[in-house]
Amino acid sequence: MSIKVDPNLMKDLKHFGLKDASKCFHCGNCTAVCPLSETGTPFPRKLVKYAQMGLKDKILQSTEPWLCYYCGTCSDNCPRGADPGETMMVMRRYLTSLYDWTGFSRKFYTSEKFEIMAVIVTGLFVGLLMLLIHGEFDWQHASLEKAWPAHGMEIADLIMASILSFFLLTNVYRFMKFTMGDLLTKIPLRIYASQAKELVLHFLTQKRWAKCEDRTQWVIHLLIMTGYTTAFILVAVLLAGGLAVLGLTWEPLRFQRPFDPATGRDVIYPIFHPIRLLGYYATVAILIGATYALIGRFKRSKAPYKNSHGTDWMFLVLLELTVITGICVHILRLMDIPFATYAMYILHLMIAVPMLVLEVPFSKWSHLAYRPMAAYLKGVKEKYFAEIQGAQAQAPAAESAQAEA
Amino acid sequence: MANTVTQSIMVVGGGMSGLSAAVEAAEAGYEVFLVEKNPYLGGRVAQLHQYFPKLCPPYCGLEINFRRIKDNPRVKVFTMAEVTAIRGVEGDFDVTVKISPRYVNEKCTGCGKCAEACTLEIQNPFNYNMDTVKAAYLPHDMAFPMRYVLDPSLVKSAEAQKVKEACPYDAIELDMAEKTLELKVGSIVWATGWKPYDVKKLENYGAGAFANVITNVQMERLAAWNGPTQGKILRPSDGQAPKTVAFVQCAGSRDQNHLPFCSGICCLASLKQATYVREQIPDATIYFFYIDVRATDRLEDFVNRVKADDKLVFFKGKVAKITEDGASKNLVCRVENTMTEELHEIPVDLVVLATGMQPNTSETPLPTPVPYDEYGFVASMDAMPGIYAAGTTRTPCNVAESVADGTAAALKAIQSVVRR
Amino acid sequence: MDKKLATYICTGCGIGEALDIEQLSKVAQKECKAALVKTHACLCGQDGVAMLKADIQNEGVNCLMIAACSPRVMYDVFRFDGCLVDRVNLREQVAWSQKPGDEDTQMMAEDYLRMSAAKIGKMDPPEPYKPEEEISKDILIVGGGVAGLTAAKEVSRAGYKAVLVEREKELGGFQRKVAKIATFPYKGLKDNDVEALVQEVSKDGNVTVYTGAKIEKTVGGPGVFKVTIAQNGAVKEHKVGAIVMAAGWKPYDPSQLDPKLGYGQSPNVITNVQFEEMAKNGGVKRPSDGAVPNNVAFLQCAGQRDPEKLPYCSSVCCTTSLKQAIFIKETNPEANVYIFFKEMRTPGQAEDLYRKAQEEGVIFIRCQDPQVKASGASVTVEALDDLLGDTVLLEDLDLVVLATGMVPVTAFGEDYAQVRARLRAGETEQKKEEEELEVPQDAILVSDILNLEYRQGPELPGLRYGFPDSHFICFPYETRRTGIYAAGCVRRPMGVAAAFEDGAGAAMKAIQCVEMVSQGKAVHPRAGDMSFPEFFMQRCTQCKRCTEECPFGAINEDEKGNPLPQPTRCRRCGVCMGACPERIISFKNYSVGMIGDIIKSIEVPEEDEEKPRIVVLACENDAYPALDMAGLRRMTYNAWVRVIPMRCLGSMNLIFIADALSKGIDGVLLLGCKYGDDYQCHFVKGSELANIRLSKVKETLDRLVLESDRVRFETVAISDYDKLPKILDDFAETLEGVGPNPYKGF
Repeated sequence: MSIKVDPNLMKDLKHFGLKDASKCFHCGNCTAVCPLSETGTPFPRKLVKYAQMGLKDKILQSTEPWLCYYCGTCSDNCPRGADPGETMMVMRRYLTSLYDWTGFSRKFYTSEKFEIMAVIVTGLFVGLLMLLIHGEFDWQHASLEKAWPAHGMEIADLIMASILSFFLLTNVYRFMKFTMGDLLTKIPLRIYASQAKELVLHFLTQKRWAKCEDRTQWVIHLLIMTGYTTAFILVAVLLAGGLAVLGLTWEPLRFQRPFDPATGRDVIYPIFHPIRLLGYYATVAILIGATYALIGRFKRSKAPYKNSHGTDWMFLVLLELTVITGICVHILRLMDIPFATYAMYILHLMIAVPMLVLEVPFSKWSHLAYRPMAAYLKGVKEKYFAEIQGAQAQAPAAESAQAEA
Repeated sequence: MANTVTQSIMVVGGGMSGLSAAVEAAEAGYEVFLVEKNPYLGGRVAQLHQYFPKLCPPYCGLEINFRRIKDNPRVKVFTMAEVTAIRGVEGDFDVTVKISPRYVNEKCTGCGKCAEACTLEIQNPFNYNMDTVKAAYLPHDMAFPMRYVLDPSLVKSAEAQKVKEACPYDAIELDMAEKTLELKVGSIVWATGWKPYDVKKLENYGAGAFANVITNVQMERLAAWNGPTQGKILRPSDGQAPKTVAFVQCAGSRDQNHLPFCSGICCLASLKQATYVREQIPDATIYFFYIDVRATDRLEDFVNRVKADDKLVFFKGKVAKITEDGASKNLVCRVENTMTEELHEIPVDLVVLATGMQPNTSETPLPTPVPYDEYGFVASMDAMPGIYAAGTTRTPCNVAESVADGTAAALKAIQSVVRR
Repeated sequence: MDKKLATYICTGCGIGEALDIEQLSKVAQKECKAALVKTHACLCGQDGVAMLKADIQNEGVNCLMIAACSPRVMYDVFRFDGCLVDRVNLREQVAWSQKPGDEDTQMMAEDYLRMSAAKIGKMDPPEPYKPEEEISKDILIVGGGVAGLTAAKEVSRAGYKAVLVEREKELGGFQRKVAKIATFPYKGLKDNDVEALVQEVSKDGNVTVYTGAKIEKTVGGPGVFKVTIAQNGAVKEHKVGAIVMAAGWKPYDPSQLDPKLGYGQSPNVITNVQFEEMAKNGGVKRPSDGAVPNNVAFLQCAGQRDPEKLPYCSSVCCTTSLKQAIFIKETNPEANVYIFFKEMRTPGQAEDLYRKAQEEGVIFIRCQDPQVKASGASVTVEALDDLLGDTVLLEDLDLVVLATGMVPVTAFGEDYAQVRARLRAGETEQKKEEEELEVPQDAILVSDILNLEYRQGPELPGLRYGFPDSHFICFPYETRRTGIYAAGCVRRPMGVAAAFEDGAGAAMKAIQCVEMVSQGKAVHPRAGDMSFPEFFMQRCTQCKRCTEECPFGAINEDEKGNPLPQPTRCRRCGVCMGACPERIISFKNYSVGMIGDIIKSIEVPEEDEEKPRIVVLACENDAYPALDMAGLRRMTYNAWVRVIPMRCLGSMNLIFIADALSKGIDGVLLLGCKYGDDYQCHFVKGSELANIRLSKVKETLDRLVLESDRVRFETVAISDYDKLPKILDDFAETLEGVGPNPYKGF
C-alpha cells in the first residue's frame, strides 16, 4: 500500500508557524547532532520529511515532537537554514490541535483574531461574574475575604478545575490512542504501573532536557513550571482547595485567611511563613522565567526564540500579566487600599482565568500533560518490547531444558 | 582597442587556469607576463597525486605545459610574485608586482649543495606542513623553475653564511631584498585560484585538533610518493595503516554556516582517494558519507567503477560530529543513515574531510574594484574591461574546466590588446 | 650545412667528481671527431655561455654537443639560433644516478657522447613547412548554437574572419527554443538573451553566416582547409585555417525510454525539451486539454545514468528541472511541483538554484526508479522513496516532465568501420589481409557533419559515448584531428554558462592553430616544432601502415595506395616513421637512420668483460623526465642502460630492435605510457602501437635465433620515477639469466 503525498499539509502548517522546513535537503545533520534523538525515535529530520510529504497520519502517530525540548542545536547546525527545531515546535502545535476533539484548539492556533477574542471574552465574562457575584465590599479596609469569601472562590475553583481536567484528559486519552494504537490495550497494566513514577519524575524535572547542550532553556522552563505548579497548589488546593468543601480544612495552611474582626482586615501570614514564602517563590520564579522568555523572543536571541507564533506571545503575556497583577493585588492589599485592591483583583482573575481555561486544555499549557506522557509511554513501550524479547529468548531455552529432562 | 599602447598580457596565478591562459596566448603570438605567488608553477594540481577519472599523474600534463613555456620565449615567468596595484584602463594598465626574495638567483643549477649544507628544517608547505624540509629547498621534484629557495628563517639564522658558501655557483644572495616591478600590460587574466576551507572553522569535526582527521588535499600528499610518507597512507598519530577510513563529504561546502555553494569536485576527489586506500590496504573498510554524489558527464563511469568495491560503504548522511578517543586517537563519526533513519556512531581510524574550495579572491581581492558574488568569487569572466577572471576565481571547477576557462580568458585578453 | 662540431663538457653539479673528464674529452676528440673540445666548471654560468658564444662567432662552431645537465633544464641558456644543439644528459642520468668514479659510470658517459655525435651527424636544421597555396587564417565554425555563435563573435573580436555554418534555418541552436535560462548567479531565472548574440553575429562583417546549410566536404588541413558548403541548392567553397566544431547535441530519443516512464502513453507525459518549447510558445499547458497544470512532476535521469540507454550524466538536467519547476511556481504559485531525483546535481553556485526551488515549495523525492502510470489524460507516479523506505503515490498529475539527456551529434550515424568493410568487399583476399591489422581503429561514426576527405574517416573519432575528444582532462579542446577543436555540448554535456566560455576557448585554440601553421610550426603537443615527416616515395610499397597508424589521420592515400602526407595535419610524433617497414619516413632532425646510428654508436664490450648493454627507448614526454627525477633524487640504477629519448614510443621502428640485437646489445627495453581506455600517451595511440609492433618482433628474434626475453615493454607514468630503478634492474637481471647476446663482436 503506497502512501499518498499531500502537498497541502505544508500550506496548512504555515498557520501553525512553519517557515523554513521546505529548505531541508535531508543530510541528516540535525538528527545526528541532537543529544536526545535515538534510533527508534529519531528526530527532527523524520518529522521534517513527514511535513514535506504531507504525511498527516504518520505525524499523528509520532511521539517525537514531545521528546524534543527545543534547545535549538539542530537549527544552529543546519547547513540549509531549514530550522528543524522550529518544525518540531510547529509539530507540537499541530498535534495539540489534532488531539483536541473540540476543534477549539485548531481555531485558537490558526486564527490570531479568534485567539485574542477568546481571551477577551472569557476575561470579560470572569470580570462580569465577579461584579455580579460578590460579598460585601469593605471601603474602610481592603478585605478580599469579605468581597469574595474563600469558600465561594473554592467552589468556583473546583468547577473550573474539573472542566479543564475533563477537556485535558480526554485530549490526553486521544493522544495516547493515536501514538500507541492497539498497543495501548495490549500492554498489561502492571507495566504502565511500574513506569508510573517515571511519569511523575518527568513531569517534575523534565530530566531529559538536561541532556541538551544549552541548559539555560531547561532552567528557565523549570522556573516557570515549578513556579506555576506551586501557585497552582497554593491557589487550587490550599486556598482551601476543596479540602474545606469536604470539611477537611486545616486552618493553618489556608492560602487566604479569613477576615479578622479584631483588626478589621484579612489576616496576612507573617513574612517567614512557608505559605507566604512559597507564594513569593512562585511569583519570582514565574516572573524571571516569563520575562527571560519574553525578552528572548523579542530579541530573537537564540534558535528557539527566532520564530514566535501568536500563541507563544499570548501565553507569555498572560503569564507575565497574571504575575504582575498578582503582585499588585498583594501590595495594594498590604497598603490597605480597598478600591484599588478589589479592582486589581478582578483584573488579576480576568487574566489568570482565561490563561488557564484556554491554555491548559487547548493550547501551549497542554504540553504539561503531553510531554511527560510521551516520555512515560516511550518507557512503557520499551519495557514491553524488552519483555517480549526476553520471553522469546527464554522460550527456546525452556524447550531445550525439557529436552534434556 | 584604440588606446592600446602595449600588446603584453599579464596572467596572475600560475595554476591550471593561469598556466593555460599564459601558454595559449603566448603560442598565439603575444607577450605574456605570468605572475605566481609560489616559488614554482602548477598551483594546486602540482600537489595532487592523481587526476580523476583517469587516475593519471598531474606531472604528465604539467610537463607538456612547462615545455611549451620553455620553448616559448614570449612567456616571462615571475615566481614568488604578487600583484599589488593595478592602474589604468584596458589596453594600458600599469601593474605593480611585488617580488619576495628567493635568496637564490638565476645562477642556481639545482645541484642541491645548499640543502646538503643546511641543517635547519622548516614545515614543508608543499606537503601541507605534514613533514619538514631543509630550509634551503627545492619546492618539489618537478618544480618549475628548477631552482632552490631559501626560507627567510634560514637567512636570519647563523647557518646562513655556511649555506651561502656551500653554493659553488654563488647563486645565493643573502641580502636579496623585496623588489617591486612596474609592468605595462594591455590586459590582465586573474586566476589566483582557491584554498581549502579552513578546518579550524569546523568545530563539529574537531576544528583541526584531531591528529587523524585530515583534509582531502593532505590525502593527496599522503598518497604521493614524493609526499611526507613516500606514498604510504598512514595515520598521522601513530604511523599505522588505517583499517577503516571515513571520507566526510561537504566539510564546509553546501553549508550556510560555512560555504553555501557546492565545491563541485569533492565527491569525485574522495572516491578517487578511496581507490588510493583500496590499492594500499585491500581489506580496509571505507565509508563515503555523502548528501548527493555529484558526478557529472562521463565521471558517472568512475562512480560506478568505485561502487564495485564491496568494502566501500556509500553512506547517505552528513556526519554531524566527530569525537576523538584521547588515548588511541581513534575517531567516532556520529551520523544518521537518512535511508533507514538509524543513528550511528561509527568508529574509524582515519577521517578525510572533503573541505571545499574557498576562492582566494574572498580573502585577497583584486587590487582594483571588480564585482564579486556573495561568496567572494569574481562575478563573471569579464570582470571589467581588460580584466578577466578564470578558473576557480570565478566558480568551483575541476582541472578540465580550469583549462577550458583559462583558454577562453586568454582569447578575451588578446581581444583587449589586438590592434585592429 | 657543413657541420663544425664542438663538444663542451661541464664539470659542475658533481659531473666532475663522478667522471674522468680528461678521458671523456679524449672520446670527444678521437671518436666524436669534435673539432673543439672544452670543459668548464659551470657551463651554464655567464662566462660558460660567453665561451660558447665566442666559439660560435670566432670558430664558426655550428654544432654544439653540450655534455652537462638534462635538456629539460637550462633550455633558455643553451639556445643558439642557427646552431644544432644536442644536450648530453651527463648530470641527471649519469653523475646523479650512477656510482661516482666507477668504470661503468665512465663507460656510460662516454657512450652518451658517442650517441650524441651520431645523432648530430644525422641531424639537419628543420625548415618550416610552407604549403604552396597561401595560408588562410579564417576560422570555420560548425554550428550556430551558443558555443558556435560565441566562437564566431570572439574570433571576430580578435580580428579574424569566421565562416559560420548552421543546419537549421535560424541561428541560436537549442537556446532559441528556451524560455528562461539558469545561469550565474543562479539566484533565479534569467531572460533568454540568445537573440542579442544572434543579432551581433549576424551583423558582424567579419562573420559569413550560412543557415540552413551543411558542409558537403572538408579537404586539406590546418591553414589550407577547403570547405564546400551547400545551401539551398547552391554550393560555396571557403578556404579556412582551422575549425571550431560546435555542432551541438540532440535530445535523447524519448521513444527509446523504458515504457514504465510512460512516454507516449499520455499526452501529459512530455520531455524537458517539449516543456521548454511550450514555455517559450505561450506558456505551459496541460497537453490533453490546454488547461493550466496545477500538479506537475519532474522525473530526473530519464534514460540516463543507465547502461542500457545513456550511461553518462548529462550534467544540466537537474539545473534544467529546477529552472522549469521554478518557472511553474512563478507563473502559478498555487501549483504543486514535485521533483523525483536520484542525486541532485547542482555543482558550484547552481546550488543556490536548488535552494531557491526549495524555498518556492517544490517537493523533492529521492528515489531510484519511479514508475509512471498513464492512461489518457490521467497520470500517476509511484516511487519507492529512499528516505521513507515506503512507496509514495502521486495521483491526478496534470503534467509529468521527463528529464531526458544530451546526445552529441557525433554519436549518430553508421560505424565507419562497416562502411570500409563494404568498400573493401570487392578487393582481393590478399589485399584485405594487408589491411587486417591489429591496429586499434578509431571509432568514427558517419554523422554527416564535417565530411572530411580523410582516408581514416569522414568525421572526428570518438573516445567514449561519441564525444570527439582526445585528452579531456589536460587538453579539453583537442580532438584527434589537427586544427579541429570541439566546443560546447558536442564535447561534453554542459549548461549554457559553460557553453559561452567553451566557444571562446575553442576559438582561442583555432586562432592559435592558424598562427602556428602560418609559421610552419606544429601545434599541441609538440607546439612550435618546425620539423615534419618527409617521405622517400621511390621505396614506398603502398602497405598503408603509415596511413593506418597515424593517430591524427594526417596522411591520405591516392588510389594506388601511395601515402599523401598533409604536413599541417601532422603532430610530429613520428608514429608513421615507426610504422614504416621500408623506413622511408624521416624528419630533418629525427629519423630511423639517426636512431640506428645512435644505437650503432654504443660501444658493446666483449662477452668476457661481462658488461651487458641495454638500449632503453624512452618516451621523452614521460619516461625520460621520470629518469631525470630519479637522478634528481639521487637514486642509482643499472649502469648498463643507454637511454634514447623518443618523440613518442610510437615512433619506435622494429628495425631499432634488430639493429640493437644484431650489434650485440643484450636487451632492449621500451618505456612507454599507459594505453587503453585511460591512455596517458600524448599522441593517443603511440605506446599502444609500439606494443602491438612488439608482437611482431618475434619474427626478428627468431631470425636472429634470440630469446624473446631480450625485449621488454614497460608502461611507466612520469610519476613512476620511484619504480624506475627496479624496472631497470629487474630487466638487467632477466638478461643475466638469458645470458650474453651471441652477436657480440660480430
